[in-house]
Amino acid sequence: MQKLHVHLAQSDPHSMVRELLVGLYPSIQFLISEDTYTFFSIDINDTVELPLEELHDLLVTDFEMRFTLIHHPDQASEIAAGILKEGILVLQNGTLSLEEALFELFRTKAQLLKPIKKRLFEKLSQNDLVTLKAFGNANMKASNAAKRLFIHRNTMQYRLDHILEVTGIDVKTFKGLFMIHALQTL
Amino acid sequence: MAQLTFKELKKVYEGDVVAVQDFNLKVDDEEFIVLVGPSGCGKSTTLRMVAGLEDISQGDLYIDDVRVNDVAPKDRDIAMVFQSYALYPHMTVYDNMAFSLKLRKFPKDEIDERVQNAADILGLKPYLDRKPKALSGGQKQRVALGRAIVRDANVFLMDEPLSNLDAKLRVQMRAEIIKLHKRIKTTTVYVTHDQIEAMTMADRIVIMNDGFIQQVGVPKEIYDYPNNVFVGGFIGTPAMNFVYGKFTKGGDFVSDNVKVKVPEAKAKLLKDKGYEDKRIILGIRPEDIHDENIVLETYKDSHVKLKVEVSELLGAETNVYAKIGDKEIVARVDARDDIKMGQELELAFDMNKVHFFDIDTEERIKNN
Repeated sequence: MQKLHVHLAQSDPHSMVRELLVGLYPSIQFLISEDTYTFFSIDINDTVELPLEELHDLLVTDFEMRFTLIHHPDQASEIAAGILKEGILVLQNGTLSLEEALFELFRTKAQLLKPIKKRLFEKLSQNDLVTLKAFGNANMKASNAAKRLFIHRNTMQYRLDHILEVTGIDVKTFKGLFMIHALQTL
Repeated sequence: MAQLTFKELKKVYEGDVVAVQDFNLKVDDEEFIVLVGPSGCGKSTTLRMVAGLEDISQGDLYIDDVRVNDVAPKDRDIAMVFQSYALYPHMTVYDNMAFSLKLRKFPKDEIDERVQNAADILGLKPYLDRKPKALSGGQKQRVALGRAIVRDANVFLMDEPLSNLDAKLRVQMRAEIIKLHKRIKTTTVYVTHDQIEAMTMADRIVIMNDGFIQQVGVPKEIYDYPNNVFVGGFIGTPAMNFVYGKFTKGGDFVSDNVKVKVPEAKAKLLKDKGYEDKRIILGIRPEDIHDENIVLETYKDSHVKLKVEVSELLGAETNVYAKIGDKEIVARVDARDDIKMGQELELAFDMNKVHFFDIDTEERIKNN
């Protein structure tokens, strides 16, 4: 399951966006809906026919307002909600993955990221941090990083997956690892 | 119908990234204007400012006489077509086109009239009951256009609407969009990175680079009289050749293995502007470099001897690649002449067609 936070630039007959989304994505579940903010979960397989970028274009042309869509794995809801809350004014209208949204904020208003960083790193153990460092130093080659830490490469994989599980950020992707490192520098 | 006026428009993103600046333009009523430039040049940002999807950092934007900087997108009476030609997969073609009107609470019979009318213009009548899945790429693109047409908006904004189509379909849709514009005459701002689309579709072209307008003009004017090296190199395939050299006191242009006579009028201009004995850039289009005997005889003073590095036969013509100094140069010659790699070739520059550019500013040297 992926979750999707949608921010509308102005309050509007929300029910219409909602009605449309229900028609589009049968698996959709609404979690929170406020004035300009909707948060729902959606089965990513549902978006094959209408990818989120295209959904964004359609919403913009039909509803004629700005939408910011942040999509992310299940467990990163809190971070994504934090990004929207803190950074909605600087985030560009568009569809962003969690890492991209983090990067947008990092580039423009890094100070807004501090509370988000705190929440994120609270979830990581010392072990996770050592793993991240070794993985980065080994240029994202898990088996090399495992050798350096004298652990089995399956253990390495397990740890990287664990980080994804607790933070929602996939550090095995370039964007994910880059963002974690960038956040560490704050 | 509407007129668009941009006054000193500027877009600065957070973090002091300037995307667009000094943007001044007047788009006439019923005009089809194309913004073209490499990716990141600010063309899409400009379009999005018109749409209201981006805030305008500085300057004013007018639709007719109304300043719309602070007008919400939905109150600007603008219809957009995006690159993705997205359609709602769960709705029929009819419902896709009708959707935005339903949202705006139009009466049913007016919705029907508008959708039928748009379907008629776009040749979509037989497909109204189909779902997007059962349509070809070109048909989907037409439905996407239809979604904009039914709005009967004052201005159309199109953001690279053809770049997801294959080459053949793109050519076909290009023609269809032009025909459509001739018919409905809505003022259109069209963004593309494809210079061929710009040349073939535009009433006027706006060439952008690094957030600045480089030149505004009708396609022919832009092709024949590029303002600067960037425009000369951007429009035309293969691109304009640029030879770096010196304009001598004797009225010649000299560079490495090239010495050509500059025609009188151009030589006078260069002298008057103080370029005598100075380094300048010569620009010449590939089709203005000739190998026919008759041209060689006419332009005796502008011959260049080159060694062919690559020769590309395109069918009707051949692109010949050679080097002047360390710069590559391309000539487009008749394919009847069998030109082989490694061959020594004598060519003539049509000096009446060349342009000279200042080596520092890269601006074309011209009469004021």
